[in-house]
Amino acid sequence: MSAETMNILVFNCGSSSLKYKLIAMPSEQVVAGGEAQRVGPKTAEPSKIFHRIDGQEQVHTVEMSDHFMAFKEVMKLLTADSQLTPHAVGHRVVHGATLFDQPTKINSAVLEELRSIEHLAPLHNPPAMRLMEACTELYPDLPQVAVFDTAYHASIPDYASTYAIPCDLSKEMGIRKYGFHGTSHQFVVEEAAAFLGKDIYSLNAVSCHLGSGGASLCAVKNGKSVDNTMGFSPLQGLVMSTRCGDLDSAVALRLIGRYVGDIQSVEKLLNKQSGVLGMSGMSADIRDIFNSAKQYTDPSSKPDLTAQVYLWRIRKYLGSYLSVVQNADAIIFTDTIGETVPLVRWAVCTDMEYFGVKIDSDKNDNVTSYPVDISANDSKVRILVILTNEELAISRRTYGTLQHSELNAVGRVAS
Amino acid sequence: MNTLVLIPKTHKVFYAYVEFGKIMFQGVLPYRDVKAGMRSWNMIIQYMFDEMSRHCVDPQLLEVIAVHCVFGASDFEGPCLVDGLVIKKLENLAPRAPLHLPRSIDAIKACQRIFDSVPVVAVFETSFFVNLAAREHKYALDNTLMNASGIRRYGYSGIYHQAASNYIVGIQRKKAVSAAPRILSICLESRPEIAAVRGNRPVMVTSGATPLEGLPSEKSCGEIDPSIAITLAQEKKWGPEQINLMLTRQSGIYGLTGKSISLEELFWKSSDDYKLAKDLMQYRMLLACGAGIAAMGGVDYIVFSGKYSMVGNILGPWLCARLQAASDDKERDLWYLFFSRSREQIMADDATLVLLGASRTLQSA
Repeated sequence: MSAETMNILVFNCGSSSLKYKLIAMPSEQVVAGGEAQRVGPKTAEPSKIFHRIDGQEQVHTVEMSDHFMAFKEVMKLLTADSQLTPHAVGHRVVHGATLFDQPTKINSAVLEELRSIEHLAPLHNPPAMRLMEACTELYPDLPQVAVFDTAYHASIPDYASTYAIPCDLSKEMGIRKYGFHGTSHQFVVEEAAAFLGKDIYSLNAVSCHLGSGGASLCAVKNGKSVDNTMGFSPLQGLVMSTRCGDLDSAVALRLIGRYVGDIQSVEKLLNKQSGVLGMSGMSADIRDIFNSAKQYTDPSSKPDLTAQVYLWRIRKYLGSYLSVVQNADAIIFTDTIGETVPLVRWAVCTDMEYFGVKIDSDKNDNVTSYPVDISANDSKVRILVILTNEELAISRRTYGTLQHSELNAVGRVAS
Repeated sequence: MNTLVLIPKTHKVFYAYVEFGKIMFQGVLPYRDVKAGMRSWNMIIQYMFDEMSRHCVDPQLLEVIAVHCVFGASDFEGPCLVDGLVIKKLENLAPRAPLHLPRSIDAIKACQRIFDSVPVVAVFETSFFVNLAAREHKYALDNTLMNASGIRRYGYSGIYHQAASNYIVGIQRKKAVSAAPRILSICLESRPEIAAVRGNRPVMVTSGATPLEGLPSEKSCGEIDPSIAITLAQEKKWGPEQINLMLTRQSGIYGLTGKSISLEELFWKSSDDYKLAKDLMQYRMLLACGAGIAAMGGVDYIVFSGKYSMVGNILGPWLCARLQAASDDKERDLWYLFFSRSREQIMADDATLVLLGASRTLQSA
C-alpha cells in the first residue's frame, strides 16, 4: 500500500476503555469503529467490544484483562475482513511534555522518551504506551504515530507558560503550563479558517472546547496556540464535570494538611468530587443542572448557582483571551456542551460588545447543521459552532507524518 | 480629624499620624526592636507618644485610632468602631489569618489600654468584597466543604479599590453622568491586585480565599495549577508548611529573578534578567483586565492605586494599547488615571467617617 491511500486505525485509549476508528485517507471516510469497554480487572459486567461497520453495530463479549488483550481482539475483528486491514496506527497521547511538539513516528527511542515522562500523566499515558508496545510486538511492520494533546500548545510563549515559582524548582520538576485538548483545538481552528476562507496563519480566535467531562479554552493567534486554560495538569482552568478548575493553592494546602499524608484523597477530591458534581451534589453533567431548573427557559432569570459559577468562569476566560489575541476573527464552540447547549453560548457571548461580539439568539437556538455561524450580522467577531473530530484530526496528523517521513526517505535514497 | 493609623504586619508595624487628611509624620517599626509579648505593644504605643512629641503633636488632640485588619471574612462589611463584641469576633477569626489578625487584635487592645478615651476603628481589606456575587466568590468545590470551612474568594486590597472607585464615581458625578462607571482598579502594591468595579460595587477580583491566588507578587506565586501543590507533596514529600513557604516567600518576582526587588524596580529597571518576570507580570495583568471587562460588559476607566501606582506610567500605555486593539472600537481612547492617596490616608478618612456616623447616631438617639 502506498502512502497516498491508506487505512489509518486511530486509537483513543482510556484507563478502562479503548476507542478506535478506521479511517481511509486521504478521502477521510470512516470505514469502521467501535469501543472496547471494561478493559482491565473483572467488573460486575463482562468486557465487551461494540464494533461498528456501515452503521451496523455488533457486540462481542470477550475477556480483556488489559489493553494488550483489547488491542488483540480489536485487530482480530478488523483483520477478519481484508477491506478493514489497517495500514498505519495513530495513537492519541495525552501528554508529550516538552519533548514532543509535533506528531511523532514511534520507534524504540521514542518509546524510551515517553517512558521518561509517564509520571506527568500517570492515568492516561501508560495505557497508550502499553498499546504501542503491544502493536510493536504483534505487528512490527505496522507504522505507528503518536499524536499529542499537548503538542499544539508548544507555541505558548514563556511568559504565559511559566508559573511564578522558583525557576530551579520548575526546571527540576518539569513544572510549566502544558495545556491540553490540543488535538481538538487545532482541528476546529483549521476548520474555522477553512469555513471563513481565511489563511490559518492569520487567524486569531478563541477556541472553546466544552466537553461534558473536561473543558478548556485556547487563545489562538496567527493560527497558533498562545494560551490554554488548562495548565501543568488538566485540573486548572474552567469548572469541569468533576474537576474544580482554578483554585487558590492555599486551599489545596489546607486540604493536604487536613488529610494528613493522604495526598491521594486530596487529588481525588479535587479531580473526581469537585466541579459541577461537587457544587450541585446531584450530577456531574452540566446539562442535568440546566435541565433541572425550569427557569432556563428565561435566560434573564436567576440560574442555579452551579450553572452561574460554570458560565461565569468561561465568560471571564473568554474576555481574557479576547484581550490576548486582539483583533479576533472568531470564537469557536465545540465538543458536547459547546456544540449542543445554546444557553452556554448565549450566556458567555451576551453583553460582550466591547470585544465586537454579538450573538444572534435565533441562529443560536436553531442550529441544525455544522459548521455554523451564529453571530449577528453586525458582529465583528464571528461566533462559530464546529463539530470536533479528534479521531479525524489524529488520522490527518498520522497520514501527514507518514507521508512526510516517506518523502524524507525518498529524499535520502535520492541523495 | 487627628488620626493615628496603625498597620501591623507580620514583622513590623507601619504607623502614621494624619491631621485632616494630611500625613504629619509616618514610619515603620520592626517588632524585633522591642521585646516580645504583650509589653511590646505597650512599648510600640509609648513610641507613638514619643513620636508625637518629637513632631510637636499633642497626644491629647488625638481623636481616633485606625487599626488595619487584613481579614474580616464575611463578618465585617465596612470599617467599624471597636467594642467588646468586635474584639470577640476578631478573636474567633484569628485562626483563619494567624499571621495577621493576632497582631491587629494586640494593637487594638494596647490602644484601648493606653489611649483609653480615644475610640479605635478597625478597617478591613476584605470588607469591600463581602457582597461579591456568589458566581465570583464561589469555588467549584463540594458545597458542604466550602460552607463548613468558610472557603470563598475575599479579595485583599479592598481599602484601595473602594477609595479609588469612590474617586472615579466622584469624577463621574461632576460630569453629571448618571450611569455607574465600569472601573478596572489596579492596585500596585507588593502584592498587586486587580478588581473590576461597577460604580461602588465590585464584580471581580484577582485574589482569592487568601492573597496567594491571583497576580504574582514580589515573593508569592499568584495563580498556579492547584495540582502543583499535590505534585510537590507526592514527589518531593514536602509538607504543607514547606510548600506554603516556597509559594509565599520564595516565589513571585523573587522566584523568577533570584533577586529581592520590588514591583517598582522590576518595571523601572531595564535588565535582561528581569525580562521574563516583567513580561509575565504584564501578561497576567492583561488577562485579569480582559476578565474584568467581560465581567462588567465593558470598561470606562482604568485607575492605578497603591504605593507603586506610578508604575502605571509604564503599565497604563501597555495595557491600554492591547485592550483597545481587542475592542470593537479601535478609535476610542481608553484612559487611565492615578489615585494617589496612601493606605494610611484612606484609613484615616474611613475612621473619620465611622466616627462621624457614630456621633450622628448618638445625636439622633
